[in-house]
Amino acid sequence: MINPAIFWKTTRDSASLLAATSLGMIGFVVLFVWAMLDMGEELMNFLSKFGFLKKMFEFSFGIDVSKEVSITVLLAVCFTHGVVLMLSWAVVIATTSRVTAGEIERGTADLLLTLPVKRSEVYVSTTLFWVLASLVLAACPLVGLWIGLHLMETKEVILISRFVKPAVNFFCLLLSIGGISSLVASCINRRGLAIATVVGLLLLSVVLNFVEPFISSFEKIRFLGLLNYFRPVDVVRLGAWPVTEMTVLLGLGIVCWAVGLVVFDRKDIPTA
Amino acid sequence: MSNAIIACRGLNKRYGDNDVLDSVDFEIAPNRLVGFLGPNGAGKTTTIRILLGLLKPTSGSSTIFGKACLQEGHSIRQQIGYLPGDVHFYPNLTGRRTLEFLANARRQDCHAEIARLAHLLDLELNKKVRKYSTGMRQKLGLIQALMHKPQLLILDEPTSALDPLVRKTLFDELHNVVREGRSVLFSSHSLGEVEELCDEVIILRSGQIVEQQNIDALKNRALRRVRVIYSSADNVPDEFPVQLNLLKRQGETVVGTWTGATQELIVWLGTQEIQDVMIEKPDLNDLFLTYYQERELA
Repeated sequence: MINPAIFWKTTRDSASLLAATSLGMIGFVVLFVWAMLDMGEELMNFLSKFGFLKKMFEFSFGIDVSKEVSITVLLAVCFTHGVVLMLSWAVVIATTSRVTAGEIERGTADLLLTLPVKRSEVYVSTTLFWVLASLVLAACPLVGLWIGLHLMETKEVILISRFVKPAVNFFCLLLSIGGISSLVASCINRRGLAIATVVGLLLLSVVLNFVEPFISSFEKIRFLGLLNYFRPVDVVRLGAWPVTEMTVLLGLGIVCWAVGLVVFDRKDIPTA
Repeated sequence: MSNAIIACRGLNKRYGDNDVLDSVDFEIAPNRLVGFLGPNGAGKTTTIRILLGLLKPTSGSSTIFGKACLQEGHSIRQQIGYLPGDVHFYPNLTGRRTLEFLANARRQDCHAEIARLAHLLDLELNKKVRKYSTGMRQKLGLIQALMHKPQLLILDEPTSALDPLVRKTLFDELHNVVREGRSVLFSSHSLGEVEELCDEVIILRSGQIVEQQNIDALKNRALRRVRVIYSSADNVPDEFPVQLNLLKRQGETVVGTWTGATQELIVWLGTQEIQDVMIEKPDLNDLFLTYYQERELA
């Protein structure tokens, strides 16, 4: 099912992007740890003075700043920070759209798909790369936290193992986005349009999760937002595996990926 | 033709209300160099893409080596070399890396053949593809189509960016391919090119097969485009020989296609009061018009 040549080519094409993004994410999380350890308490006090900011922070990250917040819980915010989400999503979307929509748009699909290789082999070989890339990306905040906590002194004991569950949840989120992006890239022959569509869907999801607490009628469609199934602060606070959330994310990812495979297998490949 | 290399049966391809292919039927015997001739938009590329599994026909079926293209495309393509009409490569790979990637994806060792073909076509393989000229990309495309010594070569307008010298080298190589018992489907819109190279020709127009015949039979029709300029418009006769399919008559100029022996043409010209005459090979339009006129008469 896997064609090694296609897998290695996909890896070579995207390895530098993955490496640069991973280093960027780790570096950002190290800075985040430093900022939270140094100024976290002051930040909480500052935010608690402004009602609107307090509410925004609570809805965005699930933390009530007026209550006492442990530094461990505060550090879990790094998983949902915009920089971490945007960087990781960008890599997943770029790699999933590269082979299906990207090859068709570039015209190289004519060469690739007239090799004695099944289309499913092409799809699965590419999938293997982006699943591994998602694993690396999901581990980046964990690595950043570990480095940050080793470099700086903390008042309380912070166990890195507390962040494993949100990291796994984050991996499921990236797989879900990869599945959606694979489906979209199978349906659309222009890579730019495919990327824009996925980004649009994700932005809608983020906006939905963000405005839902302010607009009561949105509560009914809250389940449509992907970030509804990724709440690392709650996971760290409760210490339990978010089984339902991970199942939903994995299920969505697998279904979208499988439909994308069927679409790619059956579609007409136009000339570039 | 039970041992046909390629067989198409009632192949249709429709996009919306537009029939790109309309009941295309043909067979190609093994060990032949077959020209696939037609003007741009005739449906040559669509037919080829259906054979290769890139497109699915609206109806009809096609087989290569007796295997269904739709169901067994993956195993069929092991023995096919294909050059797309507008070939694109990965711009950041060198020519060599491109060929190595394609050979590895095929799970075949093509090193020796790559070296031979690169030398034959005089192509520098260590340059990045983005620095290649159009002609160099076409050569790279030819090498990737030939490097695994396929039983069937499908070339979609392969000479479009080649200089005459490389074109001749390619034609020699294609003759060698056929001598080795392999087959070639050579798509082109140039009648002269197909006449020069192929054993057989399939003519396609507006998604329909117009003709399939041996190239010798085509040549025996002695089809020539004739432009006769009479000394004055008054000398232009009202009737012409049956061998002359009249395409245009304007003032003292008469243009038509001559289907018959050249000797008969010269004899007829000798009886006319002409100022000038031009006899040349017909273009595709002349050929199609002649076919249609013949069909209407039939």
